[in-house]
Amino acid sequence: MDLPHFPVFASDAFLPGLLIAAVAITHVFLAQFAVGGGILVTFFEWRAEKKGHTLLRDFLHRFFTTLVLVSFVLGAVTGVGIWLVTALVSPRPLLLLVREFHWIWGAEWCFFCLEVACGYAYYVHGRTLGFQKRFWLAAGYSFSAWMSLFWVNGILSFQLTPGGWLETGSVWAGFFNPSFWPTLFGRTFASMALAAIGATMVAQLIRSYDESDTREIVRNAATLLLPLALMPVAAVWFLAVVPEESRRYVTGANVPMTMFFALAALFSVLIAGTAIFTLLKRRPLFHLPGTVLLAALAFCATGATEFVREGIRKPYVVHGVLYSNGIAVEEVRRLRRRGIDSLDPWPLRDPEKYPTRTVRNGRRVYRELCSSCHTPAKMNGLVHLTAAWDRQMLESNIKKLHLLKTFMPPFAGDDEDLEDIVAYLIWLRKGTE
Amino acid sequence: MISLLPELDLYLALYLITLMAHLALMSFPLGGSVLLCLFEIFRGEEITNLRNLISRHLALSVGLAITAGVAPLLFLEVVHPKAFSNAGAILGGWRPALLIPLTIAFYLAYLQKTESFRRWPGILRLPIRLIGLAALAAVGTVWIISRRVGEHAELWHDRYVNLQMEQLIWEAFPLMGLVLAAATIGCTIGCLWLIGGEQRRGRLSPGERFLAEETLLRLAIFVAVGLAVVCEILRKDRPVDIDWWILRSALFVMIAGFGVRLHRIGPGRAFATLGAGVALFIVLVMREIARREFLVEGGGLDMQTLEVAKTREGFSAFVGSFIFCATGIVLVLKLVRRTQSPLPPDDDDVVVEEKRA
Repeated sequence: MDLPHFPVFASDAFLPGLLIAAVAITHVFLAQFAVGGGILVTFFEWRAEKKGHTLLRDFLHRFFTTLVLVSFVLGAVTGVGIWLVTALVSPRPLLLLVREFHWIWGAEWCFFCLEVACGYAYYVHGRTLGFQKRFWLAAGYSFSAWMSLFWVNGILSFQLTPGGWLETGSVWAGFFNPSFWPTLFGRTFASMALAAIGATMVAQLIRSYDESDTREIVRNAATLLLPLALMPVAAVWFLAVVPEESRRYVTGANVPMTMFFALAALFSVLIAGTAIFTLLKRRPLFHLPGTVLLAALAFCATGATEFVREGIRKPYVVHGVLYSNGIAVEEVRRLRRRGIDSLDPWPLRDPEKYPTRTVRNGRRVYRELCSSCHTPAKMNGLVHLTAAWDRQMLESNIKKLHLLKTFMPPFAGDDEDLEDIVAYLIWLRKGTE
Repeated sequence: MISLLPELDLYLALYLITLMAHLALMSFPLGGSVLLCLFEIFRGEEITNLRNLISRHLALSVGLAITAGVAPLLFLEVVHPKAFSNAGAILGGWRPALLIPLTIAFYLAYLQKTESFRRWPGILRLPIRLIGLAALAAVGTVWIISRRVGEHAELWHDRYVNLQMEQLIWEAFPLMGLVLAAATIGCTIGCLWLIGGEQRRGRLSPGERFLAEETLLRLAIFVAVGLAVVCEILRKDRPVDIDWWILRSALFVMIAGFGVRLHRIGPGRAFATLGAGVALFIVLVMREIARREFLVEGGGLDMQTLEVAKTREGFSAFVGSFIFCATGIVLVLKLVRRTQSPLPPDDDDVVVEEKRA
């Protein structure tokens, strides 16, 4: 694997992974809104011209201003944020992805630049251009935003299903991996749904629109919710191609994963139901507070989906290659023979806090192997998770952790490391009693 | 620069070029924020015109700078993975925390562009402009610190155990001062190009244009000469190599370009842009040479990732995307140039329209 080792950023108070989750879910939500927003703007432009609909044209400027203020600003900032937070919390997985897919990321950046250029040109000059130019700008924005999604989706889906890359090392085999197409379709449908909900919200916020204006816009926007009907197909396709143990996680073997998967499905059904109602009755189902709630549901659905996508990879962060703590699968045997010291040369930040050499080394073992998902005694705390285990159980269970709990990576240390982590946990336990 | 040439590969070249694009774009909001603060203190019609011009383009320039900033981050991860990631772990939450001032600066840029903000009294506008400037300067300071921590491999272990952030911040301040001065020059050059467009679109009369340019040019010459003197002082005890001569020449061309523009005797604006561009590139190359030397001395240079990265496929996809998107952007720019647009829309236009309604 030949990945360099980096110092670990560990916190005793919170899970660093939650930082990634918070920034990533917000970014995915906003980025998908931007992608769907592009499709919606292009669709409305075409519709406004075809039907001579001045209301839709007037609405477009207001909607796009919202898109710029929300998605261009927060979307761009959280995009940089993901990079910085991941480099802090999971530097090895990030480096693996960059090393393999840097040209793909470069291609994504090119389309991102085109997206921004088209978007700002449409925002600044949209109102003064004729239909044809305005339509091409909207279409350019829409296409480039979707292409950004296309490129990034290949890298994200690679993490769960690396596919032929595992055997051949080919970037394209990794990019067009088994879950590439179902996730691309799923994300596109979700993007369109988010844009429709966003448009409904903006329409209801405009005070100068009367009820019939709002109805008209919401009815048109609801058309973009229709592809959600195909979401079950994408979901089934996705489940069919993910690894067997991942599939089991969402079908009952792992209760939180199953619950989050069910929640994501439930929220999507609710949103699709709203669309059907709106289209059949030709009026919005909710007033503004209800629409805000619907947007919140969409955010929760995005969060739940991302949580499931991350969760069902466990114990890996790149399936079959890197464990969630950043240890490579092929490194485990060496580390079991030579110990954590052979990988991690970094000193402890506060060695004086730990009374003995054994506890100090135990802390280092914790930092390297456990801190990505556990704090010592707070969030997902080791002390609480192992409270019922005596010394003997601690030793035997930690040694065979990957057999005991399938979502845990194997213990990657030698016998001395095992003794030390047990000593550290017992010392922690005494401190919290 | 000569010493870097043998090691210059595609990745390093792309890193330097994209970083240059990012910094050039970033100089507009950063330098523009400095100028806006100054322009709140001074009065005059040309000052008002300049203030409106910069305010109108501030948010757009922040957006473009952030967009351009993604690529150097990507190539830096390939070229210097250890320096980048180790600095992140050592600095802990400081680097992700820069998202907060960045978001504040971005939204304040949008606020400063609105018609209603322009109608605020100066005493209320100044604090907003200062907060915007401080937010952008905070982001820049964190990046300076991150870079310094990353390149001093010999101090990684010590700093991992005991990060003296206060000291690092104090050390970064003088550098940030230089960056702000350089950004002011960059913003001036940007304004010189924008002012031409303003006159073409009838927003400025030739007289107004002349006064605005004169104000900017006098300020830019003053800052550029000061910057050149400071650079000479900093360089005093070190041998003068070819890089330094190129930098000196570029600064001279830039200052001469400003002077020529001021007296309207030739294509000064183009010369100033060329000089500034070369100077920026040389500074980046010199910084890269220094970083490599530090990393080699401290044992922190990681070439393995780069070597593996070179063997990976996908270059054709990047080149294809680049050509396609660059063509698209050129077409968009052409379309925009041909458009006789009124002022860019203000974000409170919606409110104004509603009031009219």
